[in-house]
Parts: sequence; C-alpha cells; structure tokens
Amino acid sequence: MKTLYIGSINEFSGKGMIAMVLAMRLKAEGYKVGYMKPLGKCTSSCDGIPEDEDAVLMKEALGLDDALNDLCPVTMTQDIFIKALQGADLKLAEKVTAAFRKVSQGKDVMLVEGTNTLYDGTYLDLAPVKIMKLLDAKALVINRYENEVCTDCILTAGNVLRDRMIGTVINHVPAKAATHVNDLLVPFFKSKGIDVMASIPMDPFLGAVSVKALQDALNARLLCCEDALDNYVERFSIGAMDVDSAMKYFRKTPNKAVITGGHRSDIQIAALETSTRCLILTGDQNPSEVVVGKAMMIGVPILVVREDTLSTVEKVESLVGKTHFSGEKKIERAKDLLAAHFKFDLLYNKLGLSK
Amino acid sequence: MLEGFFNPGSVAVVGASREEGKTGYSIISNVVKYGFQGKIYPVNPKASEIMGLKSYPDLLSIEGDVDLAIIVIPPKFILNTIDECAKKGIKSVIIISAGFKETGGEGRKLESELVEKARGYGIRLLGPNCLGLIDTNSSLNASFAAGMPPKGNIAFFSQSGALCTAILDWAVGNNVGFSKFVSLGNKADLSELELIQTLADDPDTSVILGYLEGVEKGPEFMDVARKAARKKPLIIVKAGGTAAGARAASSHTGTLAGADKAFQAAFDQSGIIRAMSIEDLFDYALSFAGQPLPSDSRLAIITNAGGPGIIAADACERFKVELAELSGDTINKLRESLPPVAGFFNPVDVIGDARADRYNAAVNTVLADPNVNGALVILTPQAMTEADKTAEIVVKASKTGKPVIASFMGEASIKTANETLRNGGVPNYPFPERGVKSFATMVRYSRWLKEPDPVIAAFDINREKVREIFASMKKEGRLELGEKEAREVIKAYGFRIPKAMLARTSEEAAIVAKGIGFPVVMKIASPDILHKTEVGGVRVGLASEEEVEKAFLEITSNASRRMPKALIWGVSVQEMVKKGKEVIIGMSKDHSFGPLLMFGLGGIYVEVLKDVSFRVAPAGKIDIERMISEIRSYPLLKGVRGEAPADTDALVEAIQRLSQLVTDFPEIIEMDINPLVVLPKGEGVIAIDARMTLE
Repeated sequence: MKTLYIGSINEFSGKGMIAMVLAMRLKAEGYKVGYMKPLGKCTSSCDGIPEDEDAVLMKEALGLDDALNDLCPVTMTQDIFIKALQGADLKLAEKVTAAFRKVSQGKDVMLVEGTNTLYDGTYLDLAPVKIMKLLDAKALVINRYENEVCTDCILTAGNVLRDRMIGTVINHVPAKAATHVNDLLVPFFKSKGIDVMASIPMDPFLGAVSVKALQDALNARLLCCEDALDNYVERFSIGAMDVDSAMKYFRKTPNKAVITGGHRSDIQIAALETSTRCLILTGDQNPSEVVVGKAMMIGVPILVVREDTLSTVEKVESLVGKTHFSGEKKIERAKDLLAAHFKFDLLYNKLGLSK
Repeated sequence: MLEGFFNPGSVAVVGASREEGKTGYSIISNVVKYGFQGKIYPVNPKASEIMGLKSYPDLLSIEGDVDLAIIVIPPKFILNTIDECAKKGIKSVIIISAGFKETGGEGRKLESELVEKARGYGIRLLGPNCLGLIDTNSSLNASFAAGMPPKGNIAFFSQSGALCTAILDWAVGNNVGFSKFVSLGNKADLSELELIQTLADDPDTSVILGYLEGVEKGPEFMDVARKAARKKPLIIVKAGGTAAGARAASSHTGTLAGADKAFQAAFDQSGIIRAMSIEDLFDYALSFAGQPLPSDSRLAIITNAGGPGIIAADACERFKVELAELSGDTINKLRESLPPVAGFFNPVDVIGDARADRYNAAVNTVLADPNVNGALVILTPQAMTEADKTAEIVVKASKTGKPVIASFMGEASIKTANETLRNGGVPNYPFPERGVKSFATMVRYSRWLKEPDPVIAAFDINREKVREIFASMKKEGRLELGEKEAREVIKAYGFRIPKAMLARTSEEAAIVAKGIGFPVVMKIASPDILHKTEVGGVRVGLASEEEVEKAFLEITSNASRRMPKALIWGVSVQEMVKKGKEVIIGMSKDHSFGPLLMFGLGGIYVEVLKDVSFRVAPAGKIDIERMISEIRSYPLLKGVRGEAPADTDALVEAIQRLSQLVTDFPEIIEMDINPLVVLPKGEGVIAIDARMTLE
C-alpha cells in the first residue's frame, strides 16, 4: 500500500481539491483508494460528534464505509486545546495510528490530508512530519501563490522532509505571474532536487460562492429567482459611484455579485446588463418593480440584507476562495484543470504506482 | 411608412366607453369630435351604441375593413385582441393601456409576449402605455389628450406621454400649429427610429421635435437621424443627462441610457439639434418652422432701446454669432432715414420714439445688405411705439429670403402684435437672448447641411495580428493587456511606437540600451503598477551604460519599496522620443452608442485639466478634425509664441486609426494611448504608452 500525505504551506492552498481529484482519478483507474484527515477542524456537527467537513465530503465522494471518526480521528475541540496545554497525555498519535490501520485495510492507496501549514498540530504531538513518519507516507507540499511563491518555505520543506517529499504544487498562479513561475521558479526548484508537480493557474470559479451560501451567510431575503440559487459568484463589485464609472468596472468583472443600495436603480440595471450572478441590496430596501422584472427575465437572484454596504462587503469578502471544496460543477472544472497542468505520471512514478 | 397609423381609412376603438371620465370614452370621443373622415367602429361587448355609432362586441363582428385598431382594455385581454386583429387583417395597432414593462416582472413578460405575437402576424404596435397619436391633416385624434392643436408643419414625438399633453395644451393655447403628435410609450415595437424615418418623409412636416430618455440602438439611431436631418431639422431634448436625471430615468423605464457626453457626440455627428430644455425645444421649433435658414452667422440687430440691444450683442458673442458689419452703403442709407442721434452701426438703434416707419426703413435697409445673413428686431413698448404696425412690417420683411427673428418685449401692450407675428411665421421671444440662441442654432444647422457626409477611412492594417493577441488572452482568461501586448496591437494598426525591450537585470538593461542607442528612457515593467511616475518608476535621458545600470537598480528598488506586493517583471528600456506636444487619445464603450472616442491635451495632466472631447466611432475625418479643434487648449497645438505648429494631420490620422481599431474589435471596452507625442508638422506622431481592456 502507498500512502501520500498532502500537506500545505499556507492556508486555502487547495489541498481538498487536489485530494478529491486525485482520489477520484485513482479510483476510476481501479485502485482501492482510502482517505484520512488525521487532525480535522470541527466545522460541522452530527449527533453531537464534531465532524470535519472535508472528511464528510470525501467520504461521500469516494463512497467510503468507514466511520467519520476513523476518517478524521482527531478534531480540534476546546477540550483538546486546553487539555493539551495543561500537559495531559492525550495519546492522539496512537489514536491516529489505530484509525489509520482500520481505514487503510485493503486499500492500494491512502491519501492523507494535512493541516493548513507544516507546523499545525505540533503542540498536540501531531506535527505533520511526525504523522508522515507514523504512517510511512510520502509528501506532496502545496503552496498557494499569494503575491508571490514562498520559495524559502518550499526549500525548507525539502530540507526537512528529504526523500519523503516527492514534489510540490504551486497553486492559484495569476496569469501575470505565469511566465515568472514557469520559466524561472520551476527550473530553479528542479535544480534543488524538488519537482514541481503542477503550476496551476488561478481559476476564479473554483473559489466561487453559491448564491445560496451568500443568502445563508448574509441572512438575506430572496426576492426572485429561487431556481438560480446555485449560481456561482466569483467576485464582488460595489455600486456606490456614478453609473458610468460603475459600468466600466462591471464590464470588466464577470460572474460577479453587485452590492448596492436598494434605491440605486441605475446601478442595479447597469449590473443586470453585464455579467452578474446576483444582486445584493443593502439597507433593507426593496428595489423598484422594474428592476425585479428585469432580474426575473434573465434569472439573476436578488438578495436584500439589513446591513449597510460596508458591513456586507466585509462579510462576503471572507467567503470567496475560502470555502470547502465541493459541488459537482467545481469538481468537473478542477478535474479539467488538473488534467491540463498536473504531472500525474511523475507522481505515480514517485509513489511507486504502476500507472 | 406608417400610413396605417396616420392616415387610416377606418379606425376601431377596442374598449370604447360610454362613461365620461374613462380613457375609453376620451379616445372614441376624440376620434369622433375632431372630424376624422374615415369609418369609426367602437368595440365594446356591453354596448350597442356609443356616441351615436353602432358598437360591436368584438373586432371580428365588424363588417367592413379596419386599418387601425386603438386598444384601451386591461392588459390581460390584449393578447387575444391581437389574435383578432390578425384575423381581421389589421396591420396597425395603438395600445394605450398601461400595465406592461413599466410595472415589473409580469408586465415585462406580457410585453415581450405581445411583441412576439405582433411580429409573428406582421402587425406594428405603437405603445403600450402611451397617450396615442394625432395627425392634424387627416384630422385623426387617436389619443386621450384634452384638445387638438391647429394644423401646422411641426411634428412632435415623445417618450413621455404626460409631456405630450402639456405641450399639446401649450400648442392649443398659443395657437402653434402641428402636423403630427406621437406618444411612443414603452416603445415595445415602434420606436423613435421608425418615427424619425416616417416624419422625415412626411410632406406635412418641416420640423421634427422629439423628447427622449434613452436610445436603444445607438448606431442605427445615428444613421436614421443623420438621413432625416439632411432633409429637415431634427430637434431633440434628451432627458436624464445628469446623474440625478439618469437615475430617475432608469427607475422609470428600466433601461440605462448612455453617458451624456456620448449623446452629445452622437447628436453632433448626426446633425441632430440638441435642445437642453423644453423651452429651447420650442424656441428652436418656432424659428425653424417659420423662417428660412441663414446662409451664415452675421446677424443684424434693430432695436428701439439701447439696453436690450447691448444684451443681444452680448448674447451674440456668447452663442458664437457674428454681429454683422454693415456696409458703408447701408450706413449711409440709414443716416438718410433715421434721426441723427440714432445708432447707425450694428446694433442699429432706431431710438425710443421710433414709429413703424423707422423700423420699416431700418429693417429693410439692413436686410438688403449682403453682409447681413439675418435680423433680430427688438421692440420695447414705449409711448410712441406702434407695435401692431411694426409687427406687420417685420412679417413682410421676413419674406425676403433671410431669417427675421423678433423680440417684442413686454406683455399687455403687445398682445395683438404677438399674434400678427405668430400668424406671419415670425418667431417672437419675450427676451432677445432666446432669439439670438435660436438664430445661432439655425446657423449651426445650416453649416452642417453644407458639410459632406462623413467618410470613414479604412487603412491598411494587420487585423489578423490583433485577433491572435486577443485570442491568446481570452484563452488565458485575461482581460487587461500588458503594455507589450497593447503596443503590439496599436503597432498592427499603423501606430509608430518607440523601440523598447524588457530587461530583467541591470546587465541586460545595459545591453538592451546599447542596442537601441543612447539616450534611452527606462520604465518599471509590472502588471501591478499603472502609474509608473508616482512610484519613481520612470527615468529619462539616460546616456550611458553606467547610467542605465544604476537607473535599473533605482527603479526596481523604488517600485518594490513603494508597492511591496507588486510583481516586478523588470524594466522596459525604450528609445527616447523627440520632444513634441503630448496628447491622449482613447476610447470607452458607451451603453447606447458603443465605442466613444476621446481626445485631450495634457499627457499626465489630462486628469486635472479635463479638457477633452468625444466622438462616436466610427467617426469621419471632418468629425475628428472638429473633435481636435473644440478643446480649449487647441491653440497650443497650433503653436504659441513662435513654436512650430504640431502635426495635426498626423493626429487626425491617428484618431482615425484608433476609430478603425475599436470598430473592428468591439470586445475592446476601454483603451487609451497616453501620451501620444505629436511632433512638429510633417514629422508625425509617436505612441509612447498604451493600455487596453477587453470585455
């Protein structure tokens, strides 16, 4: 059995997406694929047992029979946090090893999803490096391009993990930096003995939020187009300026939600005449009927919220690109993206898989 | 065109009512009352007779043919009625009823179903949500307006029904004659396009007036308007020109009008006379409807009072009307017929005690002067003034081929004189400024008529190259062109650009500079830095390899210090261009009219000076020349204090090429070339920097 630990250098690096696509690919090729997230976050709860959302999604996607608390044996709770600091011996490493033994039973490949960074979990005696050793895993280290590639982070990971590290992935690369990454950085890492398995271009759709998720997060009233709640919003534009300037930005910003006051019918109409997936109207004011009619015609949901524009913007900004990777459309898109950019052959080779 | 609407042989009123106060009553009563000569069929299932006419339960029960149906029933029954219209062979339908697009969701749906149905049957629709129409020549009043204007040669169409009623009432009250009145309503099918075309060919109409809140098909509108304006003056008030107005219009109509500057440019290019207010609209209408066009702008002012004469002279300067310089002959003749204390130069002052005979001599003498293209006759009522007689003299003088405009000031003692002037077709304004403004408008139109139609230049360019660049961008999902790509695009359209190359290290920069030839300019190359000067990212006049190496390090460290998050590709090393006048040319996409070209002087100061002009692309040479000459700082291009004049011919060509580029590629939503350096005459222009965004 081969085990791959998918680790991460910074937050929202796309571990979940890569784990999902890789797992589905391996499964389609006939491998028996298992999954584990040793240290999860309590992001949802079922019958009072804390559950990690990534584990839930993966169990579903792969059709695994394993119990959730085996797929994700340790979730960060207040209890664990305090007890660990009080010096209690929580025997978490043993818990992880035991669960791994169960879920890896009869599997050809195990994918182990790591924490947000290569340090997270150290104080719980669950440092990523330790887990890799315990589970005898190879490691793939992902770095999200955020203004730059953390060259030093990747090199340090290589120095620490040595042969265990089979390569790195640079994700979320903006078009403007593609040449820099591909022509300078990829050969540079190669010269240091680190293979870049993929340099994945930024795709706003993968970080998009559904209108339904927006409605929940904003606690908004929906005025029309219930059937378009699964519209995905990639970007947000604020309509506070005069309509001519707004139009300029709106044209440049595809698949957006426009946040504006209920009384700004000019901005609302401008938004509806460009690529807009959702209108978010602030100040608890319904728009004019003319606007609702137009939105209905083209199927753009209108959300009305109580807050003012500024606080609404703050709320929605924390949503984009930071959601759990799920949804059929997104999975399809991610498959295509990775098919085009990921060196699967090299990964298989280094993992010792035949195909 | 639209004969079935304006001159039908028979009319059916669906929803005709016997109850006074109902719209269905007003319509049938207007059709009957104002003497329509064709057959009239009221349709109302609950009545057997309305206004002495036999009433029918539905359209299909009418024995004879019906040319025009006027529908004034609740919206939900209208689709059925359209089916009946089709069965009955009716091709023209006016829908008065409201409850469509203007009410939101359901209404909008109903309106599009209505249009689809009508189009399928080949039926043309006016409305819905309109006042109806009036044709004074066929005596058809198919509206619910309160009154009927007298016959005349002015046609009026309006997107606002309420404005129609107000204007109509004014027309009746002031006895101003109209040929046609049309309320467009929601413009579901018929819009200003068809109306303007029809009115342009209408022999009863010599001036077309319009009130618009927005235009949907901008380029088509310009084309139709230009053709109409060649035949007769087309005067339009475009409401919603300010931000507040635009907002009001959008919540009223559910559409978005383009920017006001785009409307202004489109109107200028199509010969449309723009009235900035309803008052202007009718002021202009009276002048155009009653008087011949002046052949040029030299105006003579005849007045019996000094003050108003001076005010008129001020207005002339303000509205760019020339005060005619009277010939020696004319002045001598005036001396013979006017008292010695009179003013013999323009303005000609016939003095307060002037009776009609003095006006007679002065007006006719002045109009006979070949240096005079038109006259403004000002009269203030004084004890000796013979207003009525003077009015008759002015009317007579206005028949000699040159336009005569009156400004009889006051109210009580000039009532009958006013009537004489109005009946004689002489526009009369209570204040002289309005007269001068109207004259100025006639002059502008008269000059436009003499201009040839715009010719759109087509240069030999490399369209394929641009297509390739855009295709690769779209593939990568990028919308903003990098500097290098933008330069390649404009180069493909024949722009001269300075030699340039990207250097990634200081050594590379030195090598590149040597290749280009000293001196060079260096600019930070980063997709994240738009304003290069502000971050210390530009150096000019670098004359040696050492200077270039040093500048490279300075520029890159300045940039990373001031914008730490910017991705720095390196430094662009460029050929140093000779000094010239820096201008900006660009374009942004307008909602109604598409690509809107922009020109301004100023290079990096353009945002402060805001001295810019606009035209809709594709623009003809003549429009571009005017675009260049209308900015305030145009004299700088001609050269001041001994400077050589700039190469404006090359500048015109550059804007023509830009116009061709943005017309060929509608996916460009915004671009500018800034600065474009205009070298001295004969040396051309060079594009230094360009930027561009795609949709």
